[in-house]
Amino acid sequence: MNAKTKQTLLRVNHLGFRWPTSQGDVIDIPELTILSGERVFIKGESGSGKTTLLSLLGGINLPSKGCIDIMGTDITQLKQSHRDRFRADHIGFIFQLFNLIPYLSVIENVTLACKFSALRSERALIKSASLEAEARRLLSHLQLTDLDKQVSDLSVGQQQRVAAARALIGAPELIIADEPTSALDADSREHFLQLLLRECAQSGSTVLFVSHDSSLEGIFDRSICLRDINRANLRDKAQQGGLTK
Amino acid sequence: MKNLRWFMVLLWIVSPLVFSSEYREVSWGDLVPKDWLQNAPTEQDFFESGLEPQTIEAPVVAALNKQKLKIAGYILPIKYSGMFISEFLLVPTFGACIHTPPPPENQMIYVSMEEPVEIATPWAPVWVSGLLSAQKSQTKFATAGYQMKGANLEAMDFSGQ
Amino acid sequence: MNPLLLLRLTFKSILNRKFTSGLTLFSIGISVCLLLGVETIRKEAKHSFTNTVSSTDLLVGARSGSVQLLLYSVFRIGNATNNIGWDSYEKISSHPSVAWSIPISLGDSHRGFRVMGTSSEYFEHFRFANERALSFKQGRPFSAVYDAVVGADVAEELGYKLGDKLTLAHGVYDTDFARHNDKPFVLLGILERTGTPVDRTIHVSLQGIEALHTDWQSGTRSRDQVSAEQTLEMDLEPKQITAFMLGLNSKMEIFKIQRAINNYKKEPLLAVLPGVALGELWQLIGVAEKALLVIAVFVLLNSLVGLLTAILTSLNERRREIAILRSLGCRPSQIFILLASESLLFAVLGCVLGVLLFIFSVVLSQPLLQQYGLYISLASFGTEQVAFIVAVIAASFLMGSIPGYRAYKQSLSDGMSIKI
Repeated sequence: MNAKTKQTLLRVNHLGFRWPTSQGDVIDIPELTILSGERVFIKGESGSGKTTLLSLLGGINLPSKGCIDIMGTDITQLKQSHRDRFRADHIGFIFQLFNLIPYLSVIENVTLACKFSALRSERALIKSASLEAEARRLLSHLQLTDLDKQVSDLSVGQQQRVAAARALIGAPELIIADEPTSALDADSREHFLQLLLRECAQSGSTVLFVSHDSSLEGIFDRSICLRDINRANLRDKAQQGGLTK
Repeated sequence: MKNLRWFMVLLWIVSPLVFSSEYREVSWGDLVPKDWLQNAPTEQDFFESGLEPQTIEAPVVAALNKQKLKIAGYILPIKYSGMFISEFLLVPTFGACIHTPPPPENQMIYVSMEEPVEIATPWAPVWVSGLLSAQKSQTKFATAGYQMKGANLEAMDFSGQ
Repeated sequence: MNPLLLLRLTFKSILNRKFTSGLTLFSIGISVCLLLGVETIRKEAKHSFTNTVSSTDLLVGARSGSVQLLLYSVFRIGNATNNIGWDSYEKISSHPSVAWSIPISLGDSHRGFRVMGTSSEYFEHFRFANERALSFKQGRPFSAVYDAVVGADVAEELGYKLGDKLTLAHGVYDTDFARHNDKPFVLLGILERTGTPVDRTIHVSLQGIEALHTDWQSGTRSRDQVSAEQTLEMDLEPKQITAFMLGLNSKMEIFKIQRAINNYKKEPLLAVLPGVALGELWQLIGVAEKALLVIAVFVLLNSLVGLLTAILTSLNERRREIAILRSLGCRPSQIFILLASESLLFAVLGCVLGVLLFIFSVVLSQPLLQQYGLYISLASFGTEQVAFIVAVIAASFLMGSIPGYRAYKQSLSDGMSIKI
């Protein structure tokens, strides 16, 4: 129970998106509201447009219609460079696979997030003396100790932890995770999730977790089925190019 | 205002003409006095006869002395360093054709450039501008024939301009 | 987002592909070195050649081609077809128009170096490179029949000091049966370095050459050998020389004298103006040196295309990496710079490598080239070469903008899809 009223972190209104080559909308969401600090599970099978939704929410793609309001800013109205800056400052991403840059070290991969955002860098330095120290701190919380290994020598589970640390460093307000556990084996999934959510709670970040695996649903505060909120008729359109490949 | 503009245009057109006329263009024929005919050289063997070399057999045009002139010809390098030529003989024809006598002294100019000039194609014809001096005979202070203190050297372009 | 970070990312990215990066770098380095080398040889060769003789109005030899005369008499490359009679030389050089003359006799050698017979006028009147005169490092000009004066390289390479004895050989190649063993020469002087073929020449008097060949009249050593002492009793006035140089009293007479020599009835002779003969030499070489330059440019282009290929190939592998950077807030324009600066970095490093290779090869090849009369030095590295390097770097940056642009477009269209 929380005495503080929860603010709206993210609100979506009449969001529509179609790929340039296809005929119909891939995304057609009339309304979606996420509160600050919520841990939301978005369930979607492949082809439901979940990756597209995430790229819209992250400001990587621009919707064809509608608005996306994050912490009071309508990111659809921002210029490309401002959107990129916004994303760097306030959003952390975790992907399913290949999260890391192969020619950087583990620590460098984590601190990279701060190199693109002065805001996150500042926040990180509040918690630790240096960015490297903060990276180590987060990684140890995520139970990763093998910090001197080459990125390419890490196991998938270890790579995902590094990706999580990068998403968390500097406490961005929104964490977007696109199937981060799908490549892990069944036993590790829940463990990883617990660690991730514990850290998010610590920094007060909101989590949007997208997956097709319902077994993890229970851990989250809220569960949304993408098919329920996305009106776009996707199954038929799946043949006509432009979907998540 | 409009008058000023016309004046500037006029100045622009006229000034290159003014500057280019600083050196008067002459041809090799101008270097020869009008009444002089070149004699065919005698068949006498040059080295056998013990002939005293005359300082100058072919007379110069005195009027051309101390004139600023521009003339085209071929370079025979005399003093050079690398591709920079500082002194040369300028002659009207190239290739020392065996069938005709060599150019007489009034058809060559000994040019001394003010600044050594780099010339990539020394065998090609050039325009030389400078101050010409025409001396009738050899004295202690001056060499006979035509000398020039060269100011400019330009290669000719393909149209022969 | 500071540029230093971009540079670090580019650098690390290149280091990650060490082997292919190394090869590409090496390829660029070699082609830059080649380009610099060709340009330097072009310039320096001209300089070397024109510095060899100065203030000589006419060069005279037996009738052959003017370039050939220049080559054998001044550069000591090649051989004369015929000799000139001493009478002709005396007659011509005594003409009142002639200020000075230097006779030259070639044909012998000593341990790979050419021997030149000449008179004392050589040391007095010979000029090279901007009217510099010959000067002695040690010793003095020859006076006796068997005296010799050597150039700086001869003394250095053979380790000679004053007073050493030299055995000359007949002909250009020094072989045992060709040596004039019984008539050694004494080293009397060592000349200061000139940077011309003089450094690689052994100078002796004409009488010395004559004495050397007293028992070689038939072409090989004759049965009755004449000893060195005996030759000193003989009349050693030379009968033939190979060529001679003339300095005239008046430049305006050059043509007259030249024509007179060419028409000389007693013997077929050729008189040339050194400057004109040099010009003809340039015309001959001109086509070859332009061809060399064109080839060098093509080699460089080839390397740059190789660089482009390497970067474009890596682009596919890097789409994921670019997507990650985008998700972190990297702007598409920064992606462009990241890729374009990669080729720029290659170009800069390649040029540095190329310059180092060039310096290294100049130092290595100097002694070899000197034997051909080419005196290459690093001092010639001037604005032209710097301009070349700048052009190479600019061209690479332009090439780099191709993958840069592709990456830029891809980063916009890929979004977050995992394209591996």
